[in-house]
Amino acid sequence: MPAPDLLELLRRNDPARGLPAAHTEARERLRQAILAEQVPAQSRRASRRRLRLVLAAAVLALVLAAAGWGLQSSLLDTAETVRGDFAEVTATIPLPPGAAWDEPDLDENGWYGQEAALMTAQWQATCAWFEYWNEGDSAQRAEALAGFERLRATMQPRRPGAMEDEGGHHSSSLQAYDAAIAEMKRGEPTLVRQYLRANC
Amino acid sequence: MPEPRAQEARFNRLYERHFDAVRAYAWRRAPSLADEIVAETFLVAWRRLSDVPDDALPWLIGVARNVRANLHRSDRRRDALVQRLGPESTAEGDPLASVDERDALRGALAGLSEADREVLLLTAWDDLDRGQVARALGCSRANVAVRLFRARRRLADLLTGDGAGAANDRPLHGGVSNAGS
Repeated sequence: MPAPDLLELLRRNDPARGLPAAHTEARERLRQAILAEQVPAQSRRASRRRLRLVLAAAVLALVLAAAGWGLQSSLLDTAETVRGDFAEVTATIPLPPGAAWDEPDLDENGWYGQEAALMTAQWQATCAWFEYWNEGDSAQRAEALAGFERLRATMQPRRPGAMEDEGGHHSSSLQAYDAAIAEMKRGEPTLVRQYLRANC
Repeated sequence: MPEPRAQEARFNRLYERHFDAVRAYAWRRAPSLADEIVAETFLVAWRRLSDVPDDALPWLIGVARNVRANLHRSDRRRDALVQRLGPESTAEGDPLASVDERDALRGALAGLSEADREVLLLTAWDDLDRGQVARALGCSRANVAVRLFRARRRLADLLTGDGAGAANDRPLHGGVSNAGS
């Protein structure tokens, strides 16, 4: 095989192809967290400890951004509240045959955004419909596509000007879901499989 | 020493220009650790800003390689939040043209040495030229040229069935602990 063809073959199979862009806000949050570190640090140990905390938050935001998520609220709920909300919202969201809800894995001492339950449920439902589509024949795929399109219709965009943890999906996340729907209609599994592997 | 504002401005330019490339690099090699790798790589860049050369991407990728290796050795990879992204041994960022092509390529890449594979993938996926690959890996351009030639020839042989014993089920990543171990 000629070398240019070989490189083209590799580029065609680049695992980062189709990687959703990081949320602008998450990216900015990380930049700010890094810049908050004094250079050089006067007290390296204290500074590192503080930085780890800040970076953890920034990394979380990036992880969620890569996974197509935004933090949901600036007003926070307890784990108990999130569990209660989860039971309520999951009663309103259909899942494909054979799928079941997983109890949210929550830190009992943690604080969660007010939309955490809804977003977690939508995330689980997205995984379930994508798995159902990925594993199905044409009839099952049609059913899964319809199911996910209904779910997508319930996903609300974050209101303009809102901070990322005030609830709602970032526009890039919604665009990624729409792109997945377009691919599903063509029978193309790339984005669905990428999402499943990254998030489910 | 440059003024703090000048340092910050330089870092901002670096961050804006190379964030996506570093993130893509990390995603290709260790998807479940990608965001940690990006964060720590740019943190190192900020702390060592005076060491960052004008052509910064190879330097950043070299740092990202080290960060990735360290994270693989660290308990931090078991962080629950990051685990949500899935096991690192799966090819999650794996939008391949076809299953057959993917499988063939995965097997062939696994038949390369880690060093040769990294040179090839830094060229093909990360779009570095030979000089940049050399700086990222800390070796000479001549060494890169040799590795690249060898890797291309070996990969072509493996893909056309002339190579022996290459096919296996190792995942399609050029990572230290993925395809290379």
